[in-house]
Amino acid sequence: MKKFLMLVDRISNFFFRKKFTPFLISILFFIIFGIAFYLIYLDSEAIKEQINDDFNQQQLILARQSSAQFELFLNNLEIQLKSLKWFAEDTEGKIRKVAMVSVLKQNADMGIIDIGLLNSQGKLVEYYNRDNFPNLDLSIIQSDFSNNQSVRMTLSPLSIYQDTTGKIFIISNITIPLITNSRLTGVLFTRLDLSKLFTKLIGNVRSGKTGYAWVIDGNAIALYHPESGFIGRNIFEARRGKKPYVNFSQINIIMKDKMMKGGEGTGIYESWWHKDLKGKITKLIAFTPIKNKALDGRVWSIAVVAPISEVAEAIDKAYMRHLGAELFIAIGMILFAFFFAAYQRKISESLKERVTEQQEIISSILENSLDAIIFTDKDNLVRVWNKGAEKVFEFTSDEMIGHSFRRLIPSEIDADEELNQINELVIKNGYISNYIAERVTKSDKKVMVNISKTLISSLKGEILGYSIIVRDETKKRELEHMMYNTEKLASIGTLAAGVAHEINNPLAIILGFTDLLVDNFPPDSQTYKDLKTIESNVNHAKKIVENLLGFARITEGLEDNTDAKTCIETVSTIVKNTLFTSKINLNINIPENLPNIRGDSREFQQVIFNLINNSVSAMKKTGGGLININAYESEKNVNIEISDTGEGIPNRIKQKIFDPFFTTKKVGEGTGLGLSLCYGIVAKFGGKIDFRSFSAEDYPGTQTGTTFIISIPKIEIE
Amino acid sequence: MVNKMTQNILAIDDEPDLLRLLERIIREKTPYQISVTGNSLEVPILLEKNEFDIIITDLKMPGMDGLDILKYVRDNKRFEQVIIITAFGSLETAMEALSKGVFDYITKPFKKEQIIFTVDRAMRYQNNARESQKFSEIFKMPLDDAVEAFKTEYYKRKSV
Repeated sequence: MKKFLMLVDRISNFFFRKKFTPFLISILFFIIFGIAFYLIYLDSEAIKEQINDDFNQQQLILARQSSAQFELFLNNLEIQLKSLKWFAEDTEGKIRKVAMVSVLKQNADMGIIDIGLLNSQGKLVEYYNRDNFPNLDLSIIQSDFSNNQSVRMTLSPLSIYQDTTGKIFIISNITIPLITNSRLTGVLFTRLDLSKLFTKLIGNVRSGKTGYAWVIDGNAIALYHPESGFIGRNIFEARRGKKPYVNFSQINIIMKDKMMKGGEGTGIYESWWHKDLKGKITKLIAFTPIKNKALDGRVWSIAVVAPISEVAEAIDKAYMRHLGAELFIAIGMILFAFFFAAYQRKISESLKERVTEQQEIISSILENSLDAIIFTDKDNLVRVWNKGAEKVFEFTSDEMIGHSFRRLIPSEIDADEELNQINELVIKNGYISNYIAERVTKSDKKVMVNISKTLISSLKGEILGYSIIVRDETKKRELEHMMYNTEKLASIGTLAAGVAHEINNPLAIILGFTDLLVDNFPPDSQTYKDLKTIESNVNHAKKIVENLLGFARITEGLEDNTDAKTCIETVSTIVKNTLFTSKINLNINIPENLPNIRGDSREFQQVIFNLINNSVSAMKKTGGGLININAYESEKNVNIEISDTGEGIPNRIKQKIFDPFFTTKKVGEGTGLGLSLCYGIVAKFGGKIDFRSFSAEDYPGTQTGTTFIISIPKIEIE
Repeated sequence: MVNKMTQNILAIDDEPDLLRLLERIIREKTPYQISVTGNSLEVPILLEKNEFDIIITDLKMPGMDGLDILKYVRDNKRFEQVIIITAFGSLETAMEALSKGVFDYITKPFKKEQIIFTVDRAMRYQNNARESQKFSEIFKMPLDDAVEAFKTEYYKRKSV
């Protein structure tokens, strides 16, 4: 099924691609249908002919039967008449009379008008009739007989009479010689009204519902015809008389060439009436000759005709069947076409749906992408500007579409040069990816962006523009920087710890021997002082090493639950004296219900202690000041702010303050490890340490000072 | 007997200079005898041959380290007290060592006084231990033997 559909698809694709379109297909359809109809028409014609033929064959049978009946009648009559010959010599005449009357009576309704007997001298011996009309003209009988010397029964030529009512009589005289011992003893004669006989014989013949029979003799005189006006008349003339201006050539030819020559057959002809029907009527005709010895070689012909409408029903049925078949085929084809079209439509609709869905997805991706997706034409004018682009550059699409991309390039960079450079690369390679550049936003903020630019060209190779994907990497860069710092600190810490262990041994030796040597010199000697200098420097080195070890140890906490408030208060007690002598006031503002934080309390104290120490150092120059410690809770963290009014941290060293061994203190005063230790501890707690600082160097005229902000995850109280 | 009174220290460190420093400090600043070795694997043999009151050992050494030596002493129910010197000045290692039964724990670098005080303290502790051992041995004897032993000890001390 799938393969079939694919094939159909391919074919239809072929057609539709070639723009054959429905027009040609419908023409093709009509041609095929036309041929089919024509074939059916031919077939129907053949069937019609067949049906006509069949019908005519039936008519022919009717005609033959009628002919046979006439012959039967004649034979019967001959036998009857011949049987009378035994009574011809009955002188008494009694039996003869009875016999003759009996024959007359028996055949009265068959058109026998009278019956008579002539003796051998031609004298009327006996005569009985049913009617006086037409009058018996004995001379005719006598001449008939003398003209016909045969010993057989003979029908004389016809004589036509009309009585006063206009009734036609077609009379044929039948004579039969009575011969005894080869001697003519008399002649039996009878007159036969053929019109009555045929009315009796074939008047009831029905071909189909309305078909009828008629009889002509060799001169086309109608011996019987349902059209009573025709009887006894020449049928050609009779027809012409009835419809003078129409053409009867078809039936005339049939009659002349076939019927009147004694032929048998069937035919078809145009007529102008049939019983009550009027107008042009096609008729079927079957005809057969009536031959009998008694006719003495004359040819009569009997025809059975019926209008073609008789067979129309059958033909109609055939037509209907054909049309029905045709109709069913057509309906089938149309239904198939319909369902196929519907199926196609469904497929195309689902395809359309899918395409729409895809388009929606694509446009939604385009529109909602966090990355800026921009399309510029070849003149760098923006054509598409998605939400991501709005987010990165702050310009709305209304502000950017139709404008040049170059307004995003910082003023210190030659925008044209940079764009040209990029475009050259893009045109050369088709694309450029991960191009890192600085751009400015609407609010003049500088952002680091990662640009991928792809050339969009038409099939002809004409450059349409560029699709540009811009990712804001400012945050990523910052994060990378921070990561770098953290890693730097961690590796330095590990390294320092290792080194510290190694340094402790020599330090122990130096300090130990110095210690021993000192005892050998009086305290006021130069050597004693020198040895003491060695000792103090070794002690400084020892302190550095201790701090380094502390820094390296930050990976192993002991507690994980610390009460920040208590810790800060403990530290403040320790530093109280120092603060007092340095003329520094300490304000602690911590809410009572501050949650505990994650981490070890001693390490946390170390952090607070280091920060307070730094603040104290920063306020040495200013000769006192204020330290504020504030703590507050945020959604996930406890935040502690330690701010001082010290000299502040100049911008130029802000990047470095967490680096190990970085110090602003004099040699011997600071190890440069305090803040890196704080950083390490807070990071280990899963927290963050940050600061803001204003120094006189960068912000002259403002209150200088530094605030360190520590955020450490709080422990949720359940 | 005189030998018995001179108290012996065994110092072990893979660092010869440090070993020399310890030797100097003990020789010059204390009345005690000191033997040193740079090879910790020699320690069991040395302990079999001689009697020491104190073992001063570095914590980290190739061969047996400080804690191994401590374990050896404890497993063999030996009399010596172990003092560990270490460059790893962390509380954790100190606590671990102490929990395993070291007498004390000195971090490098140290002042000579730390060594002197600790050693003195250890020696006093050992003397007391020896005394109480002696007396507990006497108390374990039958009375006559105990009286005899006590007398012997008493006169021995008087003569000194």
